[in-house]
Amino acid sequence: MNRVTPKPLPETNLPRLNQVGKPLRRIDALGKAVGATVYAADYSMPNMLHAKVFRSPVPSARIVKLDVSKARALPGVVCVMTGEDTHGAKLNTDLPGQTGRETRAGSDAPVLASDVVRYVGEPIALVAAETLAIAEQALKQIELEFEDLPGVYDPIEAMKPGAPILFAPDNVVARYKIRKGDLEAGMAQADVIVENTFKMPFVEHAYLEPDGGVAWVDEQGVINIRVCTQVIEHFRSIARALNVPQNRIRIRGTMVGGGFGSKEDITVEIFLAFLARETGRPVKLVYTREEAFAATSKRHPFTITHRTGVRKDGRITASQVSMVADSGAYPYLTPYVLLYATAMAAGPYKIDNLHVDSVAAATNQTFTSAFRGFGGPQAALGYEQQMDEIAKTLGLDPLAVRQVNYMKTGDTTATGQEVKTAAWLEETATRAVAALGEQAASTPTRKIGRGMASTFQSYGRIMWFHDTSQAWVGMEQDGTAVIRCGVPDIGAGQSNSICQIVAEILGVPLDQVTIYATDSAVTPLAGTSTATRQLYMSGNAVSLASNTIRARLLTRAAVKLGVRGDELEIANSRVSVLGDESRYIEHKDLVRLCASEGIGLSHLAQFNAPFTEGLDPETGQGDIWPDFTFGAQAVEVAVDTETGEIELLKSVACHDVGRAINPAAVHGQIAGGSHQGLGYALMEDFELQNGIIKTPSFAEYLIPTVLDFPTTQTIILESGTGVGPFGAKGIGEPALTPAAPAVANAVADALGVRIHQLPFTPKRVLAAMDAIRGATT
Amino acid sequence: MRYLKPSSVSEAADVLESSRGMILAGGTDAYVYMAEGFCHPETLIDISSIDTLRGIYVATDDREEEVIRIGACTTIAEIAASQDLPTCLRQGARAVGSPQIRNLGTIGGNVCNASPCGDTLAPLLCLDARFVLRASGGTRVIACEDFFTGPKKTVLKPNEFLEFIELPASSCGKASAFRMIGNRKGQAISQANASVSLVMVDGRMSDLRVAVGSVAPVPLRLGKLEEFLTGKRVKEVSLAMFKEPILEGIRPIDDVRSSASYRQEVTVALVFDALAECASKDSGECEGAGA
Repeated sequence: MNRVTPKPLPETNLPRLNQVGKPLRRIDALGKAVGATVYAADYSMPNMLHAKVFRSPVPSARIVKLDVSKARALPGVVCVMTGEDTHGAKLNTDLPGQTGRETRAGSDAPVLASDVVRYVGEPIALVAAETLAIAEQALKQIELEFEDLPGVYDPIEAMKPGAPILFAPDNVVARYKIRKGDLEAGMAQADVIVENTFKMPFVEHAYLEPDGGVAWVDEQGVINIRVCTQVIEHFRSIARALNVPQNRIRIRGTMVGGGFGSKEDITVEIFLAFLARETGRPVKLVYTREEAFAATSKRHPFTITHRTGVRKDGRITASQVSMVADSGAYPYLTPYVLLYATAMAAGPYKIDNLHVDSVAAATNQTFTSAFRGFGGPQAALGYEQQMDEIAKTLGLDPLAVRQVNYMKTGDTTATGQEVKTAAWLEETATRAVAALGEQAASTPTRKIGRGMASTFQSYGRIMWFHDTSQAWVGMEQDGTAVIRCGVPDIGAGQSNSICQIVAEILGVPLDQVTIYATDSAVTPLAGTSTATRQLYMSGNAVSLASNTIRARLLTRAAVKLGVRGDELEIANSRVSVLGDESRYIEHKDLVRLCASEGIGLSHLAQFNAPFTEGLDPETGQGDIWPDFTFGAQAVEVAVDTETGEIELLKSVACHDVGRAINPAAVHGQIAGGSHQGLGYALMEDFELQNGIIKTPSFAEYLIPTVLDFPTTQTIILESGTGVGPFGAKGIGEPALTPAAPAVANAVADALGVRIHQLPFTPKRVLAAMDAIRGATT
Repeated sequence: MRYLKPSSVSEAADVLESSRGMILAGGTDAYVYMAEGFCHPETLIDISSIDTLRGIYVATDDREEEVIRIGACTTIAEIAASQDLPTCLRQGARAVGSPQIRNLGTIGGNVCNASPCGDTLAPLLCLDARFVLRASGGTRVIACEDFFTGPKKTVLKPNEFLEFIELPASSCGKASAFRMIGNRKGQAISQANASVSLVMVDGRMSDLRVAVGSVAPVPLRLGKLEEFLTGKRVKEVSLAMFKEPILEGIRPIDDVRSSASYRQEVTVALVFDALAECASKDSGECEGAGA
C-alpha cells in the first residue's frame, strides 16, 4: 500500500461535557478486579438440586427407544425428564427474541428431542439429582437406542435433489435477493470483470463463562431463573413452552462473563424452568466447556462469490454477489443473520447496479445463530477481499480503489437505505493505514505484507421489529441517583455507559449513581443486549428519563435562585448560576425542596426506534436499520515461507463512534473486537466431520492467547452524528468486522497469492507457497 | 478413590507395589484423563511433595560417570529457568503449555505421559538422557531411546515410576537448540518439533544428535541424517540436501492439529533452523550444574 496522510476531519463542535467523554473507572471494574462479582455459576441455594443434560451422540438418527428407568431408580436422583414430560415443548427458535414475527413454521427446536435428533449435542433428557456426581452418574444409566438416518453436512449438498431433508419441504431456511439498478448494463460498462469465491468456517464464541444458572419457584408460584443471558425477555418463550402465564416467569440476569451473541439464544434457562417446576426445589445447571461448545450456536460458515465489473480507474460499475450460509440443524436466528449479510454484501460502497442472491440451508451440524457482527463479518470478508483483488487486477493501490467507490452521507446502501449520518470511510481508513508507519523489510524466508479493510455495520435492531427500551430514573433525598433499567450487562460496559449518561444529565458524580438492571420483573424492560443496541436504545431511554428530571430540577432551582432556567449549570451535585458560582443550590437541598412541594423526581421513559414494515421481497429495497458505524483496520504481517507461520506485527483500528461515552471502554471494545476478528482470520476453526465435532474443547479449538498478537492500536473518531445519546454510534459489533479481511489482504500481499479459505493456518499457507513454487519450477 | 501421599521414594515404591495405583505428580495430564474418563484409578499416589524427587544437580551415575541429575518432580518451569541445563531442554520446557501448566507440570510427567508431541522428549533424546526407574525391589536404568514404545506407551511396569533423569555431564558443553511449531504462539501443542545437539570441531559438525517429535508414534533419532551431516561444515549443507534422510525416518499422521504432509515439510525446516542455531555458537552456553 502507498503511504497516505490522514484526511482532515470536518468541523464537529461537540459540546463540552463533564462526565460523558471521560475515561472514568467503570462501575463494574472494582468488583471484577477483586473477584466480588457474582456470576451465574456462583449462586447456590439451600436444598438445591444439580442438573445435567443427556445429549445426542450422533448427528442424524431416529430415536427407537429411550429408557430412563435405571437413571430414575438411582439413589439421589430426584427427577428425569424426557420429551414426553415436556409435552413436545418448543424453543421458538424462529423468534427474534423480543417482538418479531415468526417466519417459518415447524422448524423450531424441541426443548427435548423425542423423535429424531439432528445434531451431535441435541438435548434428549434432563436429570436433577442431590449432587452433581449423582447427576453425572445418572446420565450414564440412560439407555438410548437409535437408528442412524442419512445426514447432510454441507449446505450446498443440502439443497441438491435427493439430499436428506431436515424439515419439510426442503432444507432452505431462508433466501433473499437484492435487485438494484441494471446489472447487465453496469457490467457492459466495465473494462474488467473480477470474480472470486471466499469461504469461512464455523466459529465458536469462546466466552469465558460457560452457560449456567439456578431456578426456583417462589412463594407466589413464580418460577425465578437466575441466569447469564443477553436476553431476559426470553421469559415469554419459556412461559409458552411451560404453558404458564408470562407473569409467572421471572428472569434475573446476572453479570455475564461474555456472550458475543451465543447467550442471545435460550440456553440453560428453559431446562431449569422445567426442572424447578417439576421438583419444586431449586435447581442448578452449569454447562461444562465441552457442553458449551457442542450445545450452543456457532458463527455461520459462508461461501461468498463476488463478480464485479470495474472501470480502469477502479470505479465499480456493477456487482453481483451470491452467498450460501450453513444454518446447522435448526434455524435459530439464521434468517436474520443471512438478511444482515445480504444487506451488507456490497460493503460501504456506492454501487448503483447490484444483484445479491443469498440462501441458508439446514445441515446435520451444530446450529448457527448470532455472533458479534451477525453476518457482517462474513459479508466484509467477501467485499473487502474482493476490493483488494480488484486493485491487484487493475494494478492500483488498494486504498485508492476504495476511495473511488466509498459511499458518502446521502448515498444509499444495497437496500436503497439512505445513509443520513457521517460516513467517515476515508477519515478512518487513511488514519489506520498512516498509523502503521514504516514497513518492515522482507527477507527471502520472511515475507512482509500489509492489508486494510473498510467496513460498515449497523447498530440497533431491524426496524420492523419495532424495538423499544424503557428506563426509570429517580433521585434520592440525599441527591444521589437511581436507575432501573432491564439492560443485561454482558461485560461491554452496558450498565456503566447508562450510568455515565445519567451522571452527566443530572450533574452527579458517577459514584453517586446506582443501577438496578437485568431483571424481567422489577426493572423496566430494555430489550436485548444484542445488535449493538443498548447504548443507542437504553442510552436514549435513560436520557429521556433523566432529562425530564433535570428539567424539573432546573425549573425549581431557577425560581429559587431568581434566574431563568437557561442561565443555570448543573454539575458536581449542585445547580449554580452560570458565571456566578457563589449562587447555587445543592442537589440534596433541591431534592428536599421538590419533595416538600410534591414535585416528582422520578420518571419512566420509553424510547422507540424508528418503525418500518419490511423490505420489498422482489427487490430487497427498503430501510432496515436506524444507522451505521463506519471504520477501518490496517495490519502488517510477516509470513515464514518455510513453516507457513504468520506473525502479526502491527494492527491499527480506527472507527467513528459518533461520541465516545467512555473512551476507555471504547478502546476496550475495539481492541477486544479486533482480537476476536484476528483469531477468526488466523486460527479459529470449529471443525466438524460428518457431523462429529473434531474440536470439542480448548485443546483442539484454538483462540489467540496474549502471546499471539500485539494489542491493536485504536484511534477513536467522534463525528457527533450518531442517533444514540450525545451523537453516539454503536461500536460493540463494528469493532470486530474489519480485522479479519485486513489480515486476509495482508497475507495475500505478503504471499502474492490469495488463500480463499479462512483461517490462514500454517498448513494452508505452506500449501499456497508450494503451489507458487510448483508453478514457477 | 484412595489418595495417598507418600513422604519418601521408598514409601512411594512400596504403596505402588501394593496398590498398583496411578502416580500423580503435577496432575496437568492426570486430572484431564480422569475428567475425560480415559482412566479410572482406584488409587492415586501423589509424589509431588517428595523432596528428593525435585532439583537439578551433579551426581555420579550407576556407571560411576558424572551426570546432571534431574528429579522427576522438577517442574517444567524450573527446567525452563535453569542455567544449568542445555539450551534445547530449556527451550523445549518453555514450549510446554502455559505458565500455569509449566508451574505445576513436571518433567517426569511429560516423559511418562509419553505423548508423541511432548516438548521435552526430543531434547532428552538428543542429549543421550537415561532414565532411572524405581520399584520397591530397587532401580533400573534405561536409555531414553529405549523408553518409549508407542503413543502414551513406555516400558514402565505397573510397579515402577520414574525417579531421575540423567544427562551426561558433557551435554552442557554441546551446542543445542529446540524448535517447534504449533498452531499459535501461546499454549500450543506441537504439530512437529525438532532438537539438535552437536559440537563444532574446526568448523565441522561432530558428536551430532538430531531428534524429532510429533512425527511418529515415539520421539525419533534421525541416525541417517546425523551420519550424513557429521564432519560437514554447516555452510556446505542446504535444506534440500537433507530432506530425504528426514522424510525416510519419520512417520507423521493426519489429525485435528495438522496433516502428515505439512508435518513432513515443516520438520525439515525445523531441523534446519535448529541446526543453524547450533552452528552459530562455538560451544554450549551452560556452565554445567552448580555453576
